Amino acid sequence: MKKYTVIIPTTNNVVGINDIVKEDPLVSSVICENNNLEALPISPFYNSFVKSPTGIIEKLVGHSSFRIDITKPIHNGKSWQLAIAIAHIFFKNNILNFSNENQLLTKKTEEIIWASGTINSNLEIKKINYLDQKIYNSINFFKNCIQNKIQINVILSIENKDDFDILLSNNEFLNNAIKNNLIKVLFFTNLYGLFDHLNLKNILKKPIKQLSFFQKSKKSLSLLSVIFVTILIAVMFNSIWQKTSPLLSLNDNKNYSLLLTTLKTYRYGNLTERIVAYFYDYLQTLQSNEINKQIRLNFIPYNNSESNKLKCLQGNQSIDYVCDLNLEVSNVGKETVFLWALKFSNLNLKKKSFKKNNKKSDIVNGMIKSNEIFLIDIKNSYEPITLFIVYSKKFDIKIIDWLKRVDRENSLLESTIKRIKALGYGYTINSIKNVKLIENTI
Amino acid sequence: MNNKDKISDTFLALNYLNLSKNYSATELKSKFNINMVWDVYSNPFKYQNQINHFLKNKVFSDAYFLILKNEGCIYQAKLNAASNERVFSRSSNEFKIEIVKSNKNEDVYYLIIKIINDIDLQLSNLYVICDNKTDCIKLPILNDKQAQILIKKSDNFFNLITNPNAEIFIR
Repeated sequence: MKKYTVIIPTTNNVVGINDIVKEDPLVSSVICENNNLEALPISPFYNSFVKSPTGIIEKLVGHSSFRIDITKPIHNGKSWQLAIAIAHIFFKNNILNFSNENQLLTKKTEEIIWASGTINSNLEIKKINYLDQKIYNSINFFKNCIQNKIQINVILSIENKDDFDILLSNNEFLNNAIKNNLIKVLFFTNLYGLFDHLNLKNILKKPIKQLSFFQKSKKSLSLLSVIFVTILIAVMFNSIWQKTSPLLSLNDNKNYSLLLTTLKTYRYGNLTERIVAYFYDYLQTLQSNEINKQIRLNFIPYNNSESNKLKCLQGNQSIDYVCDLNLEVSNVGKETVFLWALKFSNLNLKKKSFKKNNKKSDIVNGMIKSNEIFLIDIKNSYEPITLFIVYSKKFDIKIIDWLKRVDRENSLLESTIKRIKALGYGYTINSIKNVKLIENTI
Repeated sequence: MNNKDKISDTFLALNYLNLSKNYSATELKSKFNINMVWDVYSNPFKYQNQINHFLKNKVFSDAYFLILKNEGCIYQAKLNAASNERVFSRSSNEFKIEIVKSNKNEDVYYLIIKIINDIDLQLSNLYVICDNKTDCIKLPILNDKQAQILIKKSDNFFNLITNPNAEIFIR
């Protein structure tokens, strides 16, 4: 295999590599000049460049400590990184030809790698400064190489291309050498590109991301999770349906007492039963709200006597006690609505119980088609009264019985409201109070 | 020199009065006095090239190391028991020393000094004393509390620092 001599250009010298030795991992990597005992000042930076995790050389060649000897000192800067990295990789693969102390080119030299650049942890080659000085310092060395028929490869970062083009326009020797293919100038974005160009791909392979088991089976895992979630939802839905269907059939069969008992059991049952009860209630509330929205109530005061007519004009919030009342119930929806209206006194039950015994319940029942009005005459009463009106889209004979029970026993109002809500019927409650109003007339 | 410095020097001189009694007339002829010792201690960089020559003088080295001990340094005492004639690794609470052979040259060793705790002192030299022989080596700039020096096996310094009876001062 062809061997390469690596050259590090600096602003003062053209530097060759004398020797690279693997040292004990305890030792910090050092750069020395021509086998001297004194480490060069850039040694700590070289050590950081070698040692993982900050450095890249350990990752590239698998060893963490080196002594490297160079022909001339390098005091500062980082542009040596590219040439040193290339030299380490070549050294590992036994294709590096070392220079001598006083002779950069040896008899073994076949091809020159003249490289200047910095490298980051992704092996990207970055721009360097003072390219012009480095090139001018190397001109005699290039001429020497050409005389000895040694191929020169100038390796730079792609970011230095513009700088090099400017240099080229002012340097005839370089122009001719490049035209005659004696010097190849190569610009790279990363180290992989260089090794690819030198047909040394096998030496520095671009790492292929190793996929973990989970990453490899990502597709099948996602499919499995979709299936799992689908099955889970199906099982849950089935379980909910098993509990919901009896409620629906009880509702359809108008078996209200059993329906309400079952619902009550569900509310205190297991999680599925609670969910079913919650959804059933929610759906019935939606249905109930929908009916309520269809209905508009309008109280109209009136009095037939001429003396009181003016007192019963519409538009006031309070209505004179001499006025009679009409309740106008209008259906603004598209579907027909059935209504059941109960008027009962708010007086204490004990007081009125003796009166109610033989009295017929004050319940009005009717049907309002779409965009029609139903008028209820609320006869004048000197007692405060409550109007409890139930609405449904289908006729239910049992509602009259429930209202009758409320009329007899007002305390049943709360439980009746719950029952009506549970069955999805709409309702309104209006209290008409009989009050004395004292106005300050002064 | 202002008055404050003069007073400070006077007190220091009084502190080391007992020490100065050890000087004989012949030693005075060799231009060593307590001021000189103090000056070498205070300006290690100024006397960097001469320090090894000064330390050859026993009275100077006794005075110098006494000042070092009193004024602050990091120190390793003689080893109580060593299994080998040469010691390549030793440690105290303040610093560790490792001596590792170079793979490039059998005559070259790496002296690795690792400081354990944070120290306020400016560490510029490493001194070794063993059996009335002393040697000093300049420390490079510490990097991550660690310094590394290349030493030759054939040097006196190597013989001293690998000797289990050596005392080591860093200051």
